[in-house]
Amino acid sequence: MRRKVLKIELRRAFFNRRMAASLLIGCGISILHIFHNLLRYVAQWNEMAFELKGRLEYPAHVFNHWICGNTYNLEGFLYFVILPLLAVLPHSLSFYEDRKNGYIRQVYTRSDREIYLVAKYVSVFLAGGAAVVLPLLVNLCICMTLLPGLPPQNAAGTLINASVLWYTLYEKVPILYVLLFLIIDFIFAGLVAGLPLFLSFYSERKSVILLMPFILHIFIYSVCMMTALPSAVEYAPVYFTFAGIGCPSGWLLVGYGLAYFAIGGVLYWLVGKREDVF
Amino acid sequence: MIIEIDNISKQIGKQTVLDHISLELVSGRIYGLKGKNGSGKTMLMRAICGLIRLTEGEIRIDGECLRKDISFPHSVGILIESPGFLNYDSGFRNLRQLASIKGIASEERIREVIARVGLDPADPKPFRKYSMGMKQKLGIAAAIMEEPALLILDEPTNALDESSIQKLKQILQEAKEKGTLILLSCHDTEDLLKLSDEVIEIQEGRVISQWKVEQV
Repeated sequence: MRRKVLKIELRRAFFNRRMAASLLIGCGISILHIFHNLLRYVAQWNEMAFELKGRLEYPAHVFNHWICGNTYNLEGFLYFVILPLLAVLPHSLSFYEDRKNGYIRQVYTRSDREIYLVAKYVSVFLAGGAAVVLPLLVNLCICMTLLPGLPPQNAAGTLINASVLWYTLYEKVPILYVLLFLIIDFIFAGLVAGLPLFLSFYSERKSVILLMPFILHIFIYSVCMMTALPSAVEYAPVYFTFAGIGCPSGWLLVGYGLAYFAIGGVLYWLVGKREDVF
Repeated sequence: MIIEIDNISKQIGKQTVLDHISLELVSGRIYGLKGKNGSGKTMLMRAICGLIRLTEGEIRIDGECLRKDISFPHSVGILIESPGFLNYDSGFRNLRQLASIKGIASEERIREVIARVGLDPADPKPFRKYSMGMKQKLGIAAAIMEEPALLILDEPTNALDESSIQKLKQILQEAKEKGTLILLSCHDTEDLLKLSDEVIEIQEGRVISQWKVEQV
């Protein structure tokens, strides 16, 4: 029964118009990044192929020129600013809608509260993570076909240095570093997508439920930007989830992860288990 | 099946919506709940389904205490207020999906109940394009498709025409003969008398009378 409810929820989460819209926006930004930033480097590479000798410039490569590879591309920054919207859009509103239209009663009386609540959280988490990471993967794959996978050089203008986690991995096996960040982004997006589940108990407006994680995201970013400490900005998710900037501390990941899970997962579970269904 | 409702009360804020109700309901009978809007009929149905927490008292279904021993009745079909389905799926797909949870109703059975309530099982129209009457019929089909031991129907005649009410009556009679315990509510007293064996009158959250239709 548990598996069947999960299967239904996963089907609902992945095959719906909102998921398509989220992927379309994400992939749109990621393709725009290719046209806006990458094609000139491809041209540069073609040109350099004839005159590599004697040039001191380290050539452009996948790991510092894909959408999360550096901080100076507009699309990458934009993507991580709107990340909560992309994560929430696919399936996070469905809990609110199920409660409002009475579908939840149909499922509760056929399975169990706990089974439905867990299936809903898992499906929302996976859909949110996938909606955010798939466009990044598309961008990475296209970049890999256009630029060479040269090992990153610290002296060639990268922000990944000894002050961030896994910097040696970045220099030695950059593809693993990139994959590690895609996993972090997946988990972070999944946790963000879970936040509206808890909000659904208290808000009557879809727009509030949909926008609240985004507003929280921007609020944290703004607070970090305004703080006098120069490194405070790195504590905003906009930055520490960005592979090209790096994460300054593992505790940051654990802290945000626990806080978001406590709201989106634990509180949602506790309230959902006890609430009256009308 | 025996449902023992033992002195239950439900308070929402300062308002008492169910006030010390005690009843015993047995299978093979149709109980009609009668009362004005806001009298507590729907809330009593929600309580029997296990959808709400009680402030006081307990409900036992075949000796098992609801929300303690079991979260919901083991075998229950419900139609409470508006029937909730996925808007973008057809009636058949909606029912097939719900039926897959328990795995009791076959596709053949789903087609049969959809036709039985007067809908076309092959109709590809998504649920959101259904009329009120069609939605209600699909809600009834969902409630009966797994042949539950307990059937709870809140205002099942809403938006139904006369011939559909006749069909519903047949469906309920058949379910009753199979030993289903049926609890329904209706605004229209005439419809309620047509459909029920016993009528339970509720006023301001209290049971004020309970009588057999044949005695009237």
